[in-house]
Amino acid sequence: MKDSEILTRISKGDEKALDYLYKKYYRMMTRIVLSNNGTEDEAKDIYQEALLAFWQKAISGKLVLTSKISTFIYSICLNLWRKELDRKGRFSDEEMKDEEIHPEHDKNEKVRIINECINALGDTCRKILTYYYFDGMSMADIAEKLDFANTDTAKTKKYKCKKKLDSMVKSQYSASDFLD
Amino acid sequence: MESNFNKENLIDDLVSGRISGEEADKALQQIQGDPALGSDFEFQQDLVNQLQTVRKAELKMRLDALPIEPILVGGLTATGLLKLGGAAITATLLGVSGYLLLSDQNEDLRNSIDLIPSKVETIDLGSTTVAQGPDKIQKFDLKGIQSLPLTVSTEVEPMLADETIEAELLAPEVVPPSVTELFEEETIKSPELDTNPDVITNTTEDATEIENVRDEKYPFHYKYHSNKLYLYGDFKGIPYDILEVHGKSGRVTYLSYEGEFYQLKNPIKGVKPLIPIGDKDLIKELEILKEEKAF
Repeated sequence: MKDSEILTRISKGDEKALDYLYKKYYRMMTRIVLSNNGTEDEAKDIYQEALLAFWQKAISGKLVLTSKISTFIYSICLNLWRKELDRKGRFSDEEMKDEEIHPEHDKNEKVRIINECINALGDTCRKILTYYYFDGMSMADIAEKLDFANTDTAKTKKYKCKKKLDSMVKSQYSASDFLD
Repeated sequence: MESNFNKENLIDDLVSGRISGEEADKALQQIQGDPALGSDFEFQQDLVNQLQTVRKAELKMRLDALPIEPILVGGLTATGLLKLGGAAITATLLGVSGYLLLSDQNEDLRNSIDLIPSKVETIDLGSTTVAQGPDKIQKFDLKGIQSLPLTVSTEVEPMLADETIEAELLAPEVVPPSVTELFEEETIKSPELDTNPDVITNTTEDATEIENVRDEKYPFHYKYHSNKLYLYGDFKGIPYDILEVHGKSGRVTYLSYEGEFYQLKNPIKGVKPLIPIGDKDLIKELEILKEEKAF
């Protein structure tokens, strides 16, 4: 498959193109981490993060590719692994443990509630909202991917699903707790 | 006055990253100047962050399930090794047949066969005599070789000669390894090449050490540290299950609690929220596994 074909397929949200890229470059990309003191799991994690960053860029139409896809993903992997090494270097094991066990932020109860609500939304709503907010897909592409009659149907559904999520979350958390 | 609908759209565009640069700065200023709008913006941002987290986890799970060819020897993949093995077998066969045809050194191994008629036809072309061998392909049987029928081309280039040439090509008696034996030696067994890779199997090897941590800041979370699993939250005395399974891409751990399944990624950076799995097929498989484990 040529790079241009991969990009076209990704721009339509074709996850099989993502699978293809993942398998094709797995060894090449994970080697960056493996040959720089990383474990196989860390290598996989970095590669997945890089590939998903590429996926988001490509799908949203914001990507102007001036090199091969592999070069682009390679550079993301490299940057991510450098950041991870920096992070590791900054904290000793004990400091990391402390930081993790005694966190500074307190958004986690919200997070739990929101997760529960997203899960309770139903498949279609979850797909519409995640395709829109994570993948950055257009309403036209969402309509095509989910077999809706047209873009307007997708827009209406997205609006309703979002409202449903808002009210579900708010009903579980009082406004004074949540919005301050 | 701007309508609520427009405000909603403004916030939505901002949190979804659909506006940027100057436009985004302007929107942010507007939000900062209006406390109610600011609160709503924060709320929407939390929702979108979580939607993004859920989708990312979903895509990562999809990628995790893809079979990746393992590296076996010196950076070669299973396919690479199979190709190499195939090439080696072909080279061996070619070598053996070449040896059979060309070797005339070892007297003991000779097995006389007629490749070229003992009497070669001579054609008189005036001043030059051309000796011509048979130009048809001849088949011959080699003693002891049953499984490898060989086809030998004995086309002879026309040559100039003053006298008749008598040729006798002898083949040594060689018992080559059977084709089955050759393939048995070269067979490569790869851990990824399951006969049924779709089946998830439960494993009890290397059971994970688990510690329950109560921290109000982490109501339902987990983390791995030094290969130990920390489960945060109040599980209210309700038992949970840890399923360690071998999927297509290695060992994956799941938490089963109150009818939901959660993937536990290891390694993972810091403390992460437990997000229920949405993939219905995976849930079905995990439910079956859980039932099997119970018995």
